[in-house]
Amino acid sequence: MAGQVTAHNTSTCMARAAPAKLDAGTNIALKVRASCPSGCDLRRNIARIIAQDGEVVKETELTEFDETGNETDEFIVEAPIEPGGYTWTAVFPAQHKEGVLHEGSSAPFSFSVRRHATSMAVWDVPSPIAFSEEFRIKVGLKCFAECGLAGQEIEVYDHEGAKVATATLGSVPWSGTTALCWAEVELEAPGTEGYYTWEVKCRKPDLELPHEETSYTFGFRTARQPDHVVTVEVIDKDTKTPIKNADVLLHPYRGYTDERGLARLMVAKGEYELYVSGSGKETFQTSVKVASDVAVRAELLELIVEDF
Amino acid sequence: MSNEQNNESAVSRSQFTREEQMAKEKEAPKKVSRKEFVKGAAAVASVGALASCAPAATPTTAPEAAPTCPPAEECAPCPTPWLPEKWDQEVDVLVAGAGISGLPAAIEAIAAGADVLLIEKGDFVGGLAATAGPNNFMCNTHVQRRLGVEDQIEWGIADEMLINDYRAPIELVRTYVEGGADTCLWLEQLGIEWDDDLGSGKDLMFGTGVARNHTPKESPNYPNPNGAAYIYVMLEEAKRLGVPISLNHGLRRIYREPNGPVLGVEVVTDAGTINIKARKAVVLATGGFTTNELMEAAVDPRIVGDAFYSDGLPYTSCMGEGILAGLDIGAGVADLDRLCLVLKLGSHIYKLWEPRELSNYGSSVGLGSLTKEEECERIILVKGDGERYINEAEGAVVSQTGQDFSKYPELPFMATFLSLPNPKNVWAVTDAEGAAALGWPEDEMRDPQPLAGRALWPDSVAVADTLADLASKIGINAASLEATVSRYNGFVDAGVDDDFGKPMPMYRISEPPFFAAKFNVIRHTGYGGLRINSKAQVLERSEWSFDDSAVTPDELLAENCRAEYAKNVNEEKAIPHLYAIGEAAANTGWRRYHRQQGLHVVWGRIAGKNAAAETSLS
Repeated sequence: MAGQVTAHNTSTCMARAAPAKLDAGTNIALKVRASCPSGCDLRRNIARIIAQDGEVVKETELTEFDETGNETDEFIVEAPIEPGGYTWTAVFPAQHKEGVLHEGSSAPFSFSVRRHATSMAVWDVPSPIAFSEEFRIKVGLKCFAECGLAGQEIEVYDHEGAKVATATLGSVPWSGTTALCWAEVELEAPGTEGYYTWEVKCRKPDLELPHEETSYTFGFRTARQPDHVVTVEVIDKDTKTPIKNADVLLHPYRGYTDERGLARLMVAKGEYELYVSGSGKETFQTSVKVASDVAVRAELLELIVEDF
Repeated sequence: MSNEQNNESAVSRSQFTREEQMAKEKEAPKKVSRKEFVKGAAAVASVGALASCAPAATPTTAPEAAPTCPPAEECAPCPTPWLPEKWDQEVDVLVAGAGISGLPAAIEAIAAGADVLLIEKGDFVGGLAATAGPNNFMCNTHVQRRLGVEDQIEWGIADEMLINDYRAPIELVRTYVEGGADTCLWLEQLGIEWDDDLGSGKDLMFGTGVARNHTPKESPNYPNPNGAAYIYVMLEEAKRLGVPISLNHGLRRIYREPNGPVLGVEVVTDAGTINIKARKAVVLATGGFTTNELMEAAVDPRIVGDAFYSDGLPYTSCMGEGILAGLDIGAGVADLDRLCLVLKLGSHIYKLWEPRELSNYGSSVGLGSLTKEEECERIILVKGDGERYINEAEGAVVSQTGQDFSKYPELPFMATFLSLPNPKNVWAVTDAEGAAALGWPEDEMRDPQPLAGRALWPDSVAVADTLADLASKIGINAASLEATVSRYNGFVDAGVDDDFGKPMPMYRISEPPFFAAKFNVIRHTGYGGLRINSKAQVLERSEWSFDDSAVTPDELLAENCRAEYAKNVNEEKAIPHLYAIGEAAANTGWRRYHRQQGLHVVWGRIAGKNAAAETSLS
């Protein structure tokens, strides 16, 4: 009869749900499914995502239909910025289509929002360092969600917990990394001998999205001023050509060779074991007694790694 | 009844039963043909029970008859249940497996005048040798003489026993050491040009100083001078002699008369299962079982599952078909737990072979095996909880005879890994400086391609901006990894590893980005297999076969426990008409993991000649 409207029930669920834990402010990919027990085609009907406070976060259309139901395309919503637990709702509002009223239905889904985790690296820490000498280290910070951290401040605390330096992270990621913002920090070594463990901290970065604070420890040894220079010349034994970037270790002193295959280490007098390691080379080892300036020549053999 | 009477009646009972059955068959009229019955019967589970009658009493007119058993009193046991219903092909010598040992076996058999068929389950000839290296242990050869290297058979045998830690069947060692010189000449006649560099004699696997490493040099006779060269020249010879080679033909079962000779084989092909009669002999050259995880787990439950992979894949699977088929008909086996475990950081395979052609050498894969201290200097090994567990340089220890201890499951490097709970999730971790010093390919590690380059697998490599980032990529707790590296860097600064005694030099792990490669282990050349004698004949594991139900416990004891047994494999009982060579046989020593291609060719030739010389059973 004219004017009579058939009413169908519906049910709604998440075809693609939010992960249980989300980084603040990051994008979430969702997909909503709505179905009618009579198997109606509900394409072009709308579905919504409603936030906890009733605000409509997203409105979109159902675009896919088969015998099991209807789905939206995958769509993106932004996770809240404030850390905490949330329950949002996917809603299929009551809608008319071609003389049929489909009743509304909804499905809640929960997730928690967390601060972005960050992590650090500290490198190029010299060791040993002469008493009270100035030295530099490099510090890098990365956000797991790869937020830009340029301009954030990092602090260095010594072994007694005193803040000894601050630095500001640059904007260009460290070479070879995707998002490690870094800074060079100038420090002064303690005046007494010992092995010291200091700490770098990044308090909650001042950013729109909330981040965790993070810290990283690093260690170094102090020693009295060196007395002498040990010059190590590193040569390829077969070709007799200099080897650049070979690691030279006169424990605890370290260095590496330049384009001429030379490394200069300032060391205290004493007896040392010298190790020279070159990429693809056998490690060279010899004893060195330092009572004055010394020159050592290391010839490196090719390292043959058996392949079966 | 007295024991004596029991024994007498036991022996005669079997005889009596057979006579009774034959009598019943003769007098019973119009029984359902055994053939029809068997076709309709459900699959029989036990080996040897596949029934095929001696000429059927009644002609078969309804081959697809529904499975119905005749009444019990009319059902006569088949007199020859060990035969297939019919033979599809007949040859003198059937060689199963066209690899480094099967090819020479087929060549020698056909050269001796036998009618030969060489079957191969894969779609190419060569097996593992197609991707193997060129190195080869051979003793007292004409090449050595030409180069002024003094050698003697007795020295070679003594060195071989030393290298194998004295666990090797001495008669068999003598056989293959003695055979090396002739095979060296034979391969040269087939086209191999031997390189003048025989090695130092002190490098891996060669013992006490005599230079014996024979390798092919570049030559127009073959496309590349590696393991594939041996396969190439032997394949050319096989073709020249007209050896029929059936690819995609896999051995499944051996037919053997109980306590009697081997008669033939059942073979799986693309077109279905066929039965091939072998009038003179079957030669098993089907390889080892490193891909058969169930079989591997039976000999060592630690070496399967997560982080363990197999030799040969993805090109050849080593499923132990010949060993299993031999076991099923009464053969003996030895040393199945003789293992070689090779670390391949970052990969799942042993060799990459793209394209899959003999002209292309199987290239090395992965990010190293930590066999050199120089590699170990730059990395730490951490397990699933983020902590170190070993002195990383443990695997770089080398014995006096050049054995690399990293491969032995009972020595610390591998043994500690094997003892870790599953999932082990062990990773080699280093920093940017370390990765550069090691020559790790950063591009490939960021975008791993399992079948290109170093064959790195996405689940086995990672690069990250920080250690915490790296930890999350490799499934390790970030705080734990940071703490481990921090502690290690402290040892580096102190010059002493207080936890595990890693030697100097050590290097800090600190410069971003950070790299990780997973500790994956390949089961490589599991060498145990069917027991053989110096003629390559397969040995019985018992004086009595499983099929003989008339044996008493006392008889079993008396026959299998003679004092004079097992002093020499050549005095043991062999299964007639069955040979085993290559990795399917227990034919070499406990540690002979590498450089063994020459000895496989020696054994293949011995088996081929002996198989052709057997008396034909037709």
